[in-house]
Amino acid sequence: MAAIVQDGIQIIIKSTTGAVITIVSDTDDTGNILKLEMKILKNGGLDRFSFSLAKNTDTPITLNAICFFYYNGTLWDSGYIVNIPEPDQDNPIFKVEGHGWMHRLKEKFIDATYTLTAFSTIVASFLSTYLTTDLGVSYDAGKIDLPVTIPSFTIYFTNRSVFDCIMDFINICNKNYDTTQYRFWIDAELELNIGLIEDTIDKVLFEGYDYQSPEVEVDRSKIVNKVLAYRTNSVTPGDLQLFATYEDTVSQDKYGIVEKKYVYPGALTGTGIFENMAKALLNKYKEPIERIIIKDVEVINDVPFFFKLYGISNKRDKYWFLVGEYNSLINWDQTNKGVTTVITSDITHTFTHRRCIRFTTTTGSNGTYIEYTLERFILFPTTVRIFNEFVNTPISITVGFIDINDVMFEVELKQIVGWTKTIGHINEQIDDDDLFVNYDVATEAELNLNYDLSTEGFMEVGVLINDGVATIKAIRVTMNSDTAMSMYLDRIEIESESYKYHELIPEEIKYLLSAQLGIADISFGDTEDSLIDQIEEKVEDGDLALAIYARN
Amino acid sequence: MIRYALEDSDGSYFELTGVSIAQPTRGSVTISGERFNYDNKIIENSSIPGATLIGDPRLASSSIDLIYVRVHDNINAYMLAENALLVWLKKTVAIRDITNSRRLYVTIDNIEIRYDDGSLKLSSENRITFKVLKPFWEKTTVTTIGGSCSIGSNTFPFTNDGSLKTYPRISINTSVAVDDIEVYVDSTKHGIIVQDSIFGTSGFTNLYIDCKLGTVEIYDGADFVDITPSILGGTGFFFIQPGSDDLKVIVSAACSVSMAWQIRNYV
Repeated sequence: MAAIVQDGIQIIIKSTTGAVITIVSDTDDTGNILKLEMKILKNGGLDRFSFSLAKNTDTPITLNAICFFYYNGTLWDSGYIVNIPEPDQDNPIFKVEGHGWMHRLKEKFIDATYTLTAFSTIVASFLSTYLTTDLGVSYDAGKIDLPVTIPSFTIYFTNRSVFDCIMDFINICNKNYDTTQYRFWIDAELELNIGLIEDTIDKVLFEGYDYQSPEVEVDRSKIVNKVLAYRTNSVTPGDLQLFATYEDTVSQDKYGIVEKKYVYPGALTGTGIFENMAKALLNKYKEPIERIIIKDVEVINDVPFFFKLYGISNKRDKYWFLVGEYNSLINWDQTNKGVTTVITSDITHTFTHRRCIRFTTTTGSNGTYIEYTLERFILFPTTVRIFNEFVNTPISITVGFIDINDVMFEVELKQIVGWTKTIGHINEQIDDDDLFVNYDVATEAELNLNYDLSTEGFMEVGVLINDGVATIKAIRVTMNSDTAMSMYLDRIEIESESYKYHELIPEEIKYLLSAQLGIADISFGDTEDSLIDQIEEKVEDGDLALAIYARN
Repeated sequence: MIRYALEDSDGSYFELTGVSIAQPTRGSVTISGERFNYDNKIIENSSIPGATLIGDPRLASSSIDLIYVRVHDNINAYMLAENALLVWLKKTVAIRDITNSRRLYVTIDNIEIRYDDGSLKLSSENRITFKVLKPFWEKTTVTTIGGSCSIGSNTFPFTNDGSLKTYPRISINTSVAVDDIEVYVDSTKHGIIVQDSIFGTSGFTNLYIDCKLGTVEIYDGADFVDITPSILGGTGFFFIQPGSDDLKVIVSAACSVSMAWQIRNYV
């Protein structure tokens, strides 16, 4: 099929036998097509489309005719017509509506069983059997890319649509959702594709430039960071037995402990399968689900939006980033703490959350340090807040902030010794002499505060980070003395004026196209299309998820 | 007299008072009715004695009228000139003040053509009302600073003589790989970090960060290649405030850097 090399939209409409019925286009001044709307989904590809013509357009269009869409001369997608307005309508605009081929897959139901068969064999057998000519979609083994790490398993399809069966395959492909994501779509040649979504950023979009006022939703209601694995008792089936717990402490540090109980069949033995499933659950739900919708994004040149990874930079604003809550010693590199400095997790001197880190020094501690690498860089920091406490003779301790060029800016906690905290939590600033000064918020008068280390709790220190520190990638806490002492570090947070950055894959793209205008509404976000989502609260014998995770 | 022109999106312009159109034998061009509106948006909290102002003052929408009186001796010359003006109005995105090298971003709100009272269309008064899209005049010329950068942190003092913040264009040139570029304004700590392994290698020696258009591109000798994926997430395009400040540039290899901006003023 030859491409039509012209700017704008062209639609070649063919009969089901392949004969060209007509070509409509907006590429000349007559403007046959007034506008084209298309809705494309990550899984399935083209969902729906419509295009509008002037009612008096003299061209034959029939139901089920196949539309091949060209944009700027490139074949882009295809679908079939499902609705044509009656000719005696009053509206002078004639709106033709159609479906993508995924609807045909939803309308066909099948029964099939594959017993202990390799995944690639199941997929090849299924697609070659059920992608028949009546569906209009064909199978080309060269367009199927599957993960190689899934061994043989058994699967039953009972009165299930072809679409849902293929989604089961995608869910199996996405069993390791956090590292790889697959999708399926039907291409313009009417062939089914399964492929890996590229995990490199395709383009970064900026609020204020590429789009305005995004809709941002962060759903924390589904967070799970502690899995309680129960097993039914094989002797007294009504009884449940807690046999294992699995946790993600990094998530717990950030969001608190969120437990969820899962019940597994009693006949299962060994812990590997439970661990596999728990790990998958934690990977999927340890972080909140983010969704962002951006609208009216200009489509320039070619059709630029694909189901790839995009960076989304929402407007620059002032944000406080939590560097660490320090409920555990995870991610702290203790290589250089020496043999005399003792680092422990502590629950007795906690200001926020559950735990803090206790530093105990003695002879030989001078110069020792531990280092914490941030999950994500903090960029262009302005202020840092450190919550710490000395319980006996304080020593000099420095907190160093290391940038991506390994340049370090240090805050010496010794500077605050000798002050008494007499009101709430104080908010220190640096004055011209680089000393910490405390201000009364109401009178703006300088306060004479003496910090009584023996009676007061945690101290909040505000520090303006100096010129020349553009990034922070790691924190280093260094002991500057051999004096015996205990210090507790509970929390560090940093203020930065930066873009709120997200990396997400589109779930749905709606296009509104014409020769004069091309815009898209794009919904980004995490989906539920992982095999582990089939696990609600109870795992049943015969569950597909159980069959897969039992072997992986 | 100030020379005014209509400007299109490509930066081409059509001078109303110059030689680019047939000039009226008797007539004039004036910009009148330029109104500068300042809406002090005040929200009073009546529960507090004396009330408290808690709103932010802001510029209200403004409009500007262009009045163009045209008188010709013959109808063909009149129609030719008048149609040329209307064609240009269709694609106008800014009014350009050629005399003072500045532009005002506008869109047409209304066109009114009032012909003479005679039977021949030989003269008219055209009143074109523009809606002012951005409440500032922007210089059509640029102010530039910059120089050589060595590995590490470099400082370039600058002064923005305008009365509004403006968005600069950063150009970086090098013939060695510079895989880490950190550019920010010292006082605000607003900046961008670009980590691109291609920049500086053979054929890719020029990198442009355009904070006005929102693009980061490398010129490969033929095309400008989008490298926004090389922007470190969380960093991005920034503005410079009126007054003096320092541009901080931290680079992983020697290069030359320049920053250009267009001054913006309210009036």
